[in-house]
Amino acid sequence: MKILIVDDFSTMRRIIKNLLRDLGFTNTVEADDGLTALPILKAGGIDFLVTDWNMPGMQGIDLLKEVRADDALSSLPVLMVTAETKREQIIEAAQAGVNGYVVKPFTAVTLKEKIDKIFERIDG
Amino acid sequence: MMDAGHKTQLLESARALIAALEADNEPDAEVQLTALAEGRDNNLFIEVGKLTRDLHAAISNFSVDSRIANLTEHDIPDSRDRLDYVVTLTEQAAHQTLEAVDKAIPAANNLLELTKTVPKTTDATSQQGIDDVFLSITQRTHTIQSALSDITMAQGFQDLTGQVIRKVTDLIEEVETNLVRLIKIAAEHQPQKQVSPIVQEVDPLKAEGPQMNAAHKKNVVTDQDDVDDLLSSLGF
Repeated sequence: MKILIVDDFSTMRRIIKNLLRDLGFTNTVEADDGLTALPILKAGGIDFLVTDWNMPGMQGIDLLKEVRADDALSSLPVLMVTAETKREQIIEAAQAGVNGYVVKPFTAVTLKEKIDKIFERIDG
Repeated sequence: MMDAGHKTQLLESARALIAALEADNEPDAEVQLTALAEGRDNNLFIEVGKLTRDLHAAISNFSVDSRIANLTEHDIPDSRDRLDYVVTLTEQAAHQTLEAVDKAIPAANNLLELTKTVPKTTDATSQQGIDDVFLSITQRTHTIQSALSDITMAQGFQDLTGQVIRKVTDLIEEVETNLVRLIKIAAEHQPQKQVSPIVQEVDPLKAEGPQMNAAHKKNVVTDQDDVDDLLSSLGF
């Protein structure tokens, strides 16, 4: 299981990386916005995408749309981890096909719960 | 606005003009007409003069207030630097904290394993084993202590960044006060007219970062439970 973590703040990437490691996911790669994430995704081998919304370059919501529009990536599970909390935004992300939406600041328990739920659905 | 003296003067000229016209006194009518026009011009000059003086006073007050020049030339660029400093410092502190945690977690795990290796009996041969375990426990405990102390020290950023942020908010307040003053001065010279409020088109999807006073905003969720409720209402 290889996970791509996309966030413009290195601290947040590190926190997510550490939490994922504690959950048993040790194979992670990082990108600092949608523009740098997309080539990594297109190169293949990524099984799960965790992305922020608000980033310079390409935002997370646009990255999600790019992923869903790409035949090779369209079924990739995507978890949005963001400080964006407007209802319109959450609805937009849901309609764009996000698999989970975690608001910052978040706890390890919440992250685990959402990740478990995503994989439950995929496996089920 | 026309003052009383000016009004009387105008009325007199007007009456004299009518009288002259009725009497077919053309030269006299000409004189009164000129007087009327002059009266109007004079009044306009007085008004323009007043406005010019006010404007001049406003402008000279502004250039005298070096604070404004200083704000734009120095303080605002300085604020950007200050906020960059806050970002750098908070980032450093977060990494220091995470590094300390990275050191403490394996040490704590190791401690737990070590306690399981303490020999159950205390005969002479196991005494050495017990001593070894206690030495290891002491070492790991020191690692955890120093990691915890690093975490404490890393929190020092809060004090420093807090002071810097407070300075920037003070500056913003000053800019706001000056802007309000500027608007007031400008408004005194503006004829009263109905100003329609500017309706700003807001893109609800635009990323805004953390919401301040989320509880008072209708279209903003306040926590993860709200997000989950909203998503489940959409069939998630």
